[in-house]
Amino acid sequence: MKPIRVNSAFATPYDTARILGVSRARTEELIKLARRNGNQPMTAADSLDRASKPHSIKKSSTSVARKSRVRNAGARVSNTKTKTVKVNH
Amino acid sequence: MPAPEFQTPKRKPSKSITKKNRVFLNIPYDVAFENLLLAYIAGISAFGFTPRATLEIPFSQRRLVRIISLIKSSQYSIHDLSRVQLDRAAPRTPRFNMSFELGLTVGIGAPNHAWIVCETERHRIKKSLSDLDGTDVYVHDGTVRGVLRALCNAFVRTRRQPTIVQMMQIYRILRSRFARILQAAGASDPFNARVFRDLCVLASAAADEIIP
Repeated sequence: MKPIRVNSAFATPYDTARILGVSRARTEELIKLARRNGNQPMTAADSLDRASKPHSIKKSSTSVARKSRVRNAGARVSNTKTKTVKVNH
Repeated sequence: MPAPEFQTPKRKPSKSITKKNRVFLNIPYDVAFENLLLAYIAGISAFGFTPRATLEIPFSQRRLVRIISLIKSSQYSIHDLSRVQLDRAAPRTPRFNMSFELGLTVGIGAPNHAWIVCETERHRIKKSLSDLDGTDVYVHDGTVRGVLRALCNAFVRTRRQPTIVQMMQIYRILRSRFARILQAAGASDPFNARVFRDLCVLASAAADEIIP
C-alpha cells in the first residue's frame, strides 16, 4: 500500500476551531483542558498501551511418566497443568 | 497552592490552512462505534488535519447538497465500511449511507482529492463492495489501536510525523474528557454537532501539545 504523502501545514487548534465554527472562548477552554492533560508525563503503561496491573508468570508444563493401573497397560506420559503465578510489584 | 497561570498557545493560527488540512470522515453513527469515532478524531488530529463529518450538518439544510459541499471542501476522505450488516431496529435494513458517500466522493472526482477505505474485517469488502477490487483497504479489526495503525499506514508526514504512542495519548485525553464534553453539550452520545466540534478542537490542542 502506498501511503499518502502530506506536506501541508499542521493545523493549530485555532484553525480547527475556525473551520468548525467553535467560539474563541470555548476554544480557549478546550485548549486549557487538553494542556492540563498533555502536560502530564507519560507512564510506562501509556507507551505499552496496557493498564498497569500485576503481570503473571507462566511455569512451563512438565512431562511425567506414570504407570497406569489398568491391566496390561504400559507406561503412559501425561502432562501436568501449566501453573500461573501472580507476581505483584 | 495556586493553580499555574494558563499560558498563551505556542503556535498562532496559521493563515495558510485551506482545504488541504480537511478530512471528510465517513463513519457509522452508532454507540458501538463510539470508541472508534474518538480514535479517528485523535488520529486525524495527530496528523494536523481537521476532521469534517455530516454530523455538522443541521437538519434544516438540504442534506445531500451539504454532504457534497463537505466532500468538495476536503482534501482527503476516510470511508469506514464496517457496518454492512442489518441493524436491529425494525424494519431491519443495512446502512447505505457510508457506501453512498464513498460513491459520491468517487463520482465527484475532485482533483487532488485522495480517499481511503477502512474495514473491520479482512476480505469482507470483496463480497460487500466488489467494485472496489484492486483498491487497498485498511483493516482496523474494530479496535482503537487498529484505527490508529490504519491511519499511520495511510498517511506519511514529511515533518511532525506522529507515532502510535502519541496518537494513543491524544485518544486518552479525548476519552478522559469525554464525559465532561457530553455533559456540557447535554448529550448522551458523541454523534451530534457540538460534541463532535468540541472533540475535534480538544484533539487538535492535544496534538499541538504532544507532537513536537
